[in-house]
Formats: sequence, structure tokens, C-alpha cells
Amino acid sequence: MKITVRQLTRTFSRDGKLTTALDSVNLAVKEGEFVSIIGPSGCGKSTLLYMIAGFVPPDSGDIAVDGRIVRSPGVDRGVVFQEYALFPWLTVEQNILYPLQRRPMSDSDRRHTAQSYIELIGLGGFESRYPKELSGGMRQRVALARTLAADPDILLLDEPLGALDAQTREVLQDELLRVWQRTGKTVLMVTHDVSEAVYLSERVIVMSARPGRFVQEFKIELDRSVPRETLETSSTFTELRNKLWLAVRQEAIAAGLATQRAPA
Amino acid sequence: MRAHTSVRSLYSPVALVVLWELIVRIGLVDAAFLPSPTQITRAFVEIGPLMVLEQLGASLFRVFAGLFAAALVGIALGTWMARNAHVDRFFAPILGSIYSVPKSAFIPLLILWLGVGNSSTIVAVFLACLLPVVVYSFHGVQEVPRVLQWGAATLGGTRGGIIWRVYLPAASAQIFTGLRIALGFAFFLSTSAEMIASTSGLGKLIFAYGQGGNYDAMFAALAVLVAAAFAADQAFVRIRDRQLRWMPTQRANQAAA
Repeated sequence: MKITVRQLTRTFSRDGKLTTALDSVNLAVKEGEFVSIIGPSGCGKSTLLYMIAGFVPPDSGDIAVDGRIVRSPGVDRGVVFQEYALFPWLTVEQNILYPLQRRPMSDSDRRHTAQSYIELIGLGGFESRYPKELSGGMRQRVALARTLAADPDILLLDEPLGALDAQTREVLQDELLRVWQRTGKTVLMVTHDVSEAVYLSERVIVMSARPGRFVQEFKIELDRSVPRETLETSSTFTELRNKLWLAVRQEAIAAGLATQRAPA
Repeated sequence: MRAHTSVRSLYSPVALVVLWELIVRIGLVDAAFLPSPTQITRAFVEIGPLMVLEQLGASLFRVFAGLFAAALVGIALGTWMARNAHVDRFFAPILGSIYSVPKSAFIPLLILWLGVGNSSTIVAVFLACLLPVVVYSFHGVQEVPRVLQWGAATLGGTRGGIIWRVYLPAASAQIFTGLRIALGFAFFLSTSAEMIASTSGLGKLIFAYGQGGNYDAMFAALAVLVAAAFAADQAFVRIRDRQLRWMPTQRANQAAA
């Protein structure tokens, strides 16, 4: 499924002051494409994702998924939240079973499907644990599996790995990459991690803050069949990462979120 | 571990009974006004444990019938109010206006409408239990985290299914708190209603013995009532802790506070 965003604008009032979270944003994501949005915090990138998900209505402009205007959340757009959003009263298995309830299949097929997702995320043996008994990385794996079990055509990822330590993050990045390559789903990810954006995406869009606008776009053409070490240390990767980092830093400075350090 | 906790919760009541016996025995208070635990036990055997248990059964039926009805109506109404601003605007002033009225004040009116017997007592219990259940269900459902609501919306299911499978479990800690308060109110109201609007039940028994001057027997009936209310609360806490074992906090009631 493809996503088309046209002239999307959204303002919020905070302490009586109007903040333009998004200002005339246009975006087209092709079917099966992996696109990342990166920018300083508060630039409205999560707002954009929530609007595509149908949680937040636009002030003006519109969002279409395969030509149909988005007005509410739907099962065609799965969301992975930074704060996991697992149902704490359900076990790992029950959380993954949740989206399978509406699917027309027998109970034993449901359990089989849930089990295959549990294997996919490497949580075999943790089926009957509650979220409170899991680490952050494990919770995020369950959240990803739950969203995948709903089988949405579009994955909307809101800084899904932001709260994790560097090692866990790398493992889950590889898992995300594998899932995307295997399923061919359309992915739109919001992140603040420059390397992550380059490593995973085919296209990275840089946003400015207040007003939130798209300011730059990078096409990422990498041969992802080579091992991660080779890829991340290649000159193409490093160059792309540096360019993207500079672009993001420029926006952070413009937004007053970073300052120039005086040379020693 | 759990058995440990419930045994410990008996320490202070047992200590109180022992102290009570001592105070009466050494003559600090007149045994005619405050019979000792042994006198009360003797009276309990004399008036017939079977008869007392029968009256207890009648009272418990009213307590749980009223509480059950209040739980059904209260959880449904509280959830509906939390999900719909129009419903909230309609019911909030009505509930607010009866909030501070002692529900026992309705008992004479209920006798007029429903006569003496089970129904007037059950309705009195229902009215008293309804408010805490509505209020806590309302807050519980209203405070369901936004990401859980959003998550549920993208994972499919009917509106009713989402309320049943997401909103109510997410609000369950609060709902349990409301129900526990309601359980206390239920014993309170069933006893007061039975005293004037019933021909059976522990409330009636206590009242009758008190008027007849049989204080040993009155205390025996009262002790059974206290034990029953205490046991019901303990059982409720057990059920609640089991149902809320998924909660991140050690003590489920902390999260509900």
C-alpha cells in the first residue's frame, strides 16, 4: 500500500501559544518502500506518524492510503510505539494472540501463528510471562510481533528502538530489516538515530522544527546483502551518515536545540 | 507466602479479643454492659448456631444480591460516562447530588415503596454500593493510557470488544478499589435496613436482642456479623490480588490509589 500526504498542516496550542507542528507537508511513500523521518525533537515527526495512523486529525490537507482518505485508525496501518503499549494484563502469548482474534482461523491455528511470531522474535520459553517480567528490549520485540501478527500492509514505527541500549537496538534493527525484506511491507519510521536511519531506509527525510517542514531528502542506495560490519564501515555508508548527520545538526542548531562548541 | 499474610492479618483481632476478655474478667467494666468473649460464646451456643447461621445466610444473600447488581450497573454506567461526554453531563449532577446523602435515609421510603422484606434491603444495598463503583470505574476507564487506546484501535476488533478486552482490564485496579469500598457499604446498609425493614437477617437479630435486653446474645450475633464482613473482605482481597497479578507494583492497591 502506498501513502500520500498532501499539504498537511497541524497546529497545537500550548500555554495559550500556537505551535505549528506541521506546515504544509507533502510526502509520498511507495508500496514496499522503507522511509525514515529524522529531525530535532519537537519537530512534529511523531505528530505526522500519528496523523497517518489516524489518531490525530489534520487542520488542513489530507492523507490517503491507496487513494482512500484516512479518517480513523485501521488495521491496515500497524503502529509500534516507543513506549511499547503492550497490554500489561496479558502474557506475551496473549498479547500476540490479541490481533489474531479477529482473523477467521481456528484456535489451534491462532496458537500456531502466535508461536511462530514468538519464535521469530526469539522469545520461546517466555510465552506465559507478563510484560512487567520482561526487559525493555524483550517488550519491544513483543510489541513488534503483536503488530506483525495483525498483518498490516503499512508499518508505522515511532522511534521504536529509542529506549533501548545500543546492543539490543542493533539486534532489533537487523530483525526489522529482515522482516521488511521478507514481507515487503511499506515502512515509515520516525527516529532520531542517524546511523539507524541510514542502515534501514531506502530514503531519509530531514525535518525542521517549529514549523515542522521537510527540508532535505536523502536517497540511500546500499547493498544490504553484505554483512553489517562491511556495510557500516564502507565509505558509501560513512559518507551518507556524515551528510545526514550534518543536515540534522543544522536543523537542531536552527531550532536552538544544539549549540556550536567553541574550538579549543 | 499468601497464607503467611492472612495469618498475620489475624494477629491484631486475636489480641483485641484476649484484651477484651481480661478487661471484663478483672472487672474494669461491668459485664452486664460488655459481656466477655466467653460469655458471648456461651450465648451463641444457647441461641443456636444453626439459627444464627440461617440469619447470616439471609443477610449475605441481600449483601451479595445488592452488590452484584451495583457492580453490573455501576461498571457499565461508569464506563459509559467515561467514554461519552453527553452521558457524563447527564448523570454527573444526579450522582453528585446524592453523593453526600446517607443512603440509610432512603430506607423508610423504600419500605413505603417495596414493603418489608428482601427487596427493600437489596435496593438499599444497591443504592449505597452504586456510587463507589460508578466513580472508580469512571476514573479507571478515563485514565486508560492513550497509547493503549491507540494500540487497540490499530489491532482490530469491534467497539464493544475493545471495551471488554482493553478498557475494562486496563481499569480493573480502580474498579476493584470501588468494589471493595462497596462491599463495606453493603454490610453497613444491609444491617441498618434489616433493623427496620426486615423480619430476618443478622441486623434484625441484633436489633431484637438489643431491645429485649439480651446483650450476650446481641453480642453473639454482632460477632458473627463482624466475622462474616471480615472474611468477605479478606476473600475479596485474595481474588483481587490474583486478578491483578500482572500489575507492575507489588501491592495492587497502590496503583489504584
